Amino acid sequence: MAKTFTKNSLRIRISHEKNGEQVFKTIITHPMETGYRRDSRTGETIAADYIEDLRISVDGKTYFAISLGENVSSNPFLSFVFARPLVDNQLLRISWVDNHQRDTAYDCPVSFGQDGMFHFEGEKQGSDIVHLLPEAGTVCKTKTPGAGQ
Amino acid sequence: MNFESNNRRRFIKMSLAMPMLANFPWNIANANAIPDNRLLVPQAIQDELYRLYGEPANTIVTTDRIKLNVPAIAENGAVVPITVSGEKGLVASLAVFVAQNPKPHVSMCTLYEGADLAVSLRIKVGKTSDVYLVAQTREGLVGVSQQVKVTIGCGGG
Repeated sequence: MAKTFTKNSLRIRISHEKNGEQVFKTIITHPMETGYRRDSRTGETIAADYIEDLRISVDGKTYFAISLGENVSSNPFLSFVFARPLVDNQLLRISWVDNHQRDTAYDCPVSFGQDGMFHFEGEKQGSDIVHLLPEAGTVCKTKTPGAGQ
Repeated sequence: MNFESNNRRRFIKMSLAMPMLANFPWNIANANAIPDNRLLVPQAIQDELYRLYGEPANTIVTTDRIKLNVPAIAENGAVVPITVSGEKGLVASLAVFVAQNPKPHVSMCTLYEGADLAVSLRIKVGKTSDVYLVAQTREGLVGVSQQVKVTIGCGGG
């Protein structure tokens, strides 16, 4: 099964709420495969592929470290609130490690527009999954009978 | 006469004391039983909590200082939005579990200094299940739970 990773992409929006809070929202385009699903045509189990650890840091200081997993929806959407609002020229870094221990990191220099919003969009090419399939096969053996995922 | 009177008094005293004695162990038994404010979690989640926090999970106390916002009925189990909110600076780390999923542990979020307790996430819920939120605070583990009914699960549940 020569399945390659599609590009993963990241979208961020930081907006100012009426109560002065700065709300940080992000969507990562990622399949978040559980490893339990089967391809309806071939009957093969689709290899697990999900983000394990995600870290959000500003100027090198970590604010949120969140472990995701197979139970998180595909294209994970996350929303956080920073206690101290971010300002222009700070470096926001979002990095994650997936279940194959591959790192991905996005660096986004913060700059608010006229409307007080900050938008960021970026995409990166994922690596090939083919050489990881045997390992993914062992992951799939942990399938629980009757698990409806 | 005197003796009889004494006997009668003793009888009255005894009859008053008896119900108290009968009540007394009953109260103790209640005190030793599970207090009302304890959150009961399934064994699988207790094991996960022990792995994450290294302390036994039988002391989780329910709280109203943290709000777990989950839809009561989810039409699509593959995308269930959850929102956690609460007092600032209360929680150091929180973990989310879905009891009926093959692996109940969903996510664990560590909030560092400068991070508020206002986190939202979209999760998969395979079939109708309780969602548990357990948070680590200075006073120990606190938790909230709520049931999500999945009408059309991603597994047809």
